[in-house]
Order: sequence, then C-alpha cells, then structure tokens
Amino acid sequence: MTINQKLLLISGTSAALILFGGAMGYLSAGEYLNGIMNKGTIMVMLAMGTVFGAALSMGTGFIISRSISSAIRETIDGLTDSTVQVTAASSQVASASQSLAEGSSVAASAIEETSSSLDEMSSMTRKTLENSSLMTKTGDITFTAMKNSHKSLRDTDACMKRIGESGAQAAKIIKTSDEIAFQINLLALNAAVEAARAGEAGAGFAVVAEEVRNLAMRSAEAARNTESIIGEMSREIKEGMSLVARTLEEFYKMGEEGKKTNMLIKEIDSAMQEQAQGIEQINRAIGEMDKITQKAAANAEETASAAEELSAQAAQMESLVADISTITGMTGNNSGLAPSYLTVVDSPGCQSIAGNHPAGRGIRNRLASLAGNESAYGESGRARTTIVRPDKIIPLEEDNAKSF
Amino acid sequence: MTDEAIKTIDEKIKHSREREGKYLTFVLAGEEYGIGILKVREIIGMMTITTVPQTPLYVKGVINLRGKVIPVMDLRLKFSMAAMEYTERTCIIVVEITGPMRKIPMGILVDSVSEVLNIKATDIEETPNFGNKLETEYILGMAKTGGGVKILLDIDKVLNNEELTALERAA
Repeated sequence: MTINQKLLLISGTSAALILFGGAMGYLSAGEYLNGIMNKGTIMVMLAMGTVFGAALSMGTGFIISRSISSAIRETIDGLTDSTVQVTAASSQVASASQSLAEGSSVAASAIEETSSSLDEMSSMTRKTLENSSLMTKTGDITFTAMKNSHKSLRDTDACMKRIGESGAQAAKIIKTSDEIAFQINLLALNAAVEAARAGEAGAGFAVVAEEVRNLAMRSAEAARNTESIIGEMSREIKEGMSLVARTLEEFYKMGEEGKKTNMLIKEIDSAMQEQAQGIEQINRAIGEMDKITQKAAANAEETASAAEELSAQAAQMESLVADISTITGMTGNNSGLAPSYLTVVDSPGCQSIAGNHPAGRGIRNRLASLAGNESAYGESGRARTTIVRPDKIIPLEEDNAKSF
Repeated sequence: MTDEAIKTIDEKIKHSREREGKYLTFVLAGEEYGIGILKVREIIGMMTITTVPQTPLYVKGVINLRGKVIPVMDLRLKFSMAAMEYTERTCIIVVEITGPMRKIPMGILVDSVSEVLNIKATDIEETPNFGNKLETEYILGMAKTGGGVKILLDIDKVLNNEELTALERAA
C-alpha cells in the first residue's frame, strides 16, 4: 500500500465521517429547528453542507497527498544521485588504494633489489679502495726504487769516465815504455856495431847486444799489444758511456711518467674514497625510502579497507533509498528489474551507467562496483562483462517495505 | 890464358869473401837495405837538423853530435823517392865515407833501422845488369835472406867524387 493510497483512504474516511456528522446534525437539528424553519429547507441545507464537506475533505486529502509525495520524490531523487556518486567515489578510492598498495609493494621489492645491488657495489668499492691504497704504496716504493736506480746509473757514468781517464794515463805510460824500448833497441844496435869494430874480441859482446836487442823488441811488442788493448778498452768505455747516457735519458723520461702515474693513482684513490662515501649516503637514503614505502603500503591497505567499508555503507544507503522509493510509489519502473539478470559493462575506474531511472541507475552502479571489487582488480585496463544477480545482493522483498 | 882465367876467378872469390860479413839493415820505402857494419859509426834517433843554404835538396842540413858537426843526407831524396814525414822510428845512421882526401862522417836519414845481420858469401849475388845507362856501381850485391832480397849498398859510391869533394869542403 503506497502513501497515496493511504492518504486517499484517510480523506475518504474523513469524508465519510463528515457525511455521518451531517446526518447526525440533521437528526438533532431537525428537532431543534422544527419550529423556526420549514423542515424541507433544513433538510436541503444540511444535505448540501454534508455533501460540500465531504467533497472538500476529499479534495483536500488529494491535494495534500499529491504535495507530500512530490516532495518525497524530489528528496529521493537527490538521495539517489548522491548515493550513486558516493558509490562511484568509494569504488574509485578502493581501486586507487589497491593500485597504490600494489605499486608500493613493487616499489618495495625494487628498493630491496636496489639495496642488495648497492650492498654488492659497496663491498666491491671497499675492495677497490683497498687495492687502490695498496697501489699508491707500491707506486711510492717503485718511485723510490727508480730514484735509487737513477742515482746508481749516474754513479756508473762517473765511474766509466774515471776508467776512461785511467785508460788514457795507461796509454801515455805505454807510449813512454815503447819509446824506451826503441831507445834500448838503438843502444843494442850501437853495441853490435861497436862489437863488430872490436873484431874477434867483440864477439861475446855482440851476443849480449843481440840479447838486449831481443829484449827491447819483446818489450816494444808488449807495449804495442797493451796499447791496442787499451785502445779497445777506451772505445768500449766510450760506447758504454753513450749507452749509459741514453739509459739516463730514458730513465729521466720514465721518472717523469712515474711521477704522473703516481699522481693519477693518488687521484683515483681519493675519488674512490669519495665514491665509497657517496654509496654510503645512497644506502642510507635507500633505507629511508624503504621505510617510507612500507608505510605507504600499509596506508594504502588501510585506505582500501576504509573504501570497502564506504562501499558497503553506500550499498546500504542505496537499499534504503530503494525502500523509500517503493513506499512513495515509484516501484512501477523498477519492479521489472528485480527478478531479471543484469548485464553490467565494467571497466575499472570508470563505470558505464545504463538505465534512466535514478533508483535503477543507483542499483546498477552498486552492482557494477561490487562486481568490480570481486574480479576487476586482477586484470586492469581490460573491459570485461560480468553477470550479476541483483536480488542476491539487495533484498527486494515486499516485506521490508511493509515494515516501513 | 889459363893463368889469366884463374886469376880473375881468384879475384872474384876474393871479392866475394870481402863482401861476406855483418851488415846493418834498414828500411827505406818498404824495402830492406844493408850497409857494411864497419862503415857504421853509430845509430842515433831523430834529432834537430839545422838547414844549410846552398846545398843540394837531398842534404837536409847538419846536426850537432856531441860537439861534432855532421852533414845529414836524406837517402829517400838521394834515391829519387817520395819524401816522407819523419816519425818516431826515423833514424840517422852515422857512417864514415872514404873521400878522395880523408874519411868524412855523414848522417843518413832512413825510415827505420832493423838489425845487424851476418850474411854469408853464398847468400850474396851479383847485381843484375839493368842496362848500361843505369848506374849500379853503388850496389855491392843482393843478399838473399828468408824469402826476400836485401840490397847491399856501397855507401862510398852512393855519392860521386864531386859531391864528396863538395862535402869535404863543407865539413
């Protein structure tokens, strides 16, 4: 029984009461006014009044019922609209928080990976740092060794020069001894001449002179040999000196390069230290990021459950609105929907709304959001069709409305 | 006739015997020469030579040998050989040349002195005949020693009489 029917019943009842009153009035007033007016006139007046009253009450009842029901209808329309919006918003919030939660978990795992990679990198950097500091030490040692070698080479050069000088002196001495040998040779020859002049007496002396001359010749030959050896030595010393000079030059270049290398190694070492510090800082930042992501994931979870709650509340509100609309007599259009199956086109985040009636629309949206919660989050971005039985979700029995 | 022949042979043997003896050998332009040792007074090293003007080219000048002034002749130049720079080995052999009037001491510049050799008569051969026009009078003979030949000089005949006279006057 709708409100309109109820109001009509009330106005009909009041009209009947008025008619009853009129009849009663007629009966009582008829006896009282018998002496004053003519009975027929009174009868007519009473009948007219009663009929007029009854008509008036009927009309008033009808007007009141119409005005009340139209106000309620407007309210219901507004309620339906806002319920629809709340439902849509809650489902959007639910999906957004769900994707947020998912994103957070992906981010958390990515951060974990990054963190482990960073740990590896950090250990490698530490190792490299150790190696580079070792390299610095080794470079210093090498440089010192090179300096020492350079000094030794210079000493060698000086020594070679001294040997050369000694060789020259020896050559001078050899020349002197060669001259002496020549003089002895001349003396021996002179002695031979003298011996020959002495004739027989000088024969023995001639032999001595010959021996002396032989000695002089041997001495001269030895001097010549020594001279050639010294010449060879001097040539070799000169070659050695030029070799040493070349080596010194190369050594000088090597020293310069070594200096550069040492500097580079030191720079690398300091850069490595800075890098290690940077990695440490990144590690700390990643740790903080991890915490924040965890928090965000938890928050998203909470938001999702709140959105769920909101969705449920919206559903309840919608059922209440449906009840009200049933009561106010707007069930005519909906009644056909209740038992049938609904086809809802659903895409996450934006539901397509079908149907003209506000209440029906609201129910469909509700169905859509529920269907979405059940299955849509698994496969985002793909439109899909879900078949739902609305009477399983919303109680549409008449009993509920009767209790109103 | 036979007597004469025997006489010439005897003379030759005598000549050959005379040539046998000790020789002082020296080097001149790579060749070995010998001078009879009794002609040699002494051998000295190179010393300062004082040039004397108006003398032939081969006379290099005079030296002061222990207070005696002795003329010095370059044997290379005398034998028309190329002149050479004097070295440490260059020696002056002081010889006694028998001049027309007296014995003249004279220095001979040679490349180097070798040794005193005893040469047997059998090793000495006559100077080969190179033709009439060539003067080979100053060569005593050719001495065969080892694989080579040494030219033995008659130093008295190296310079002719005119030159000797001039030298006598100079000395």
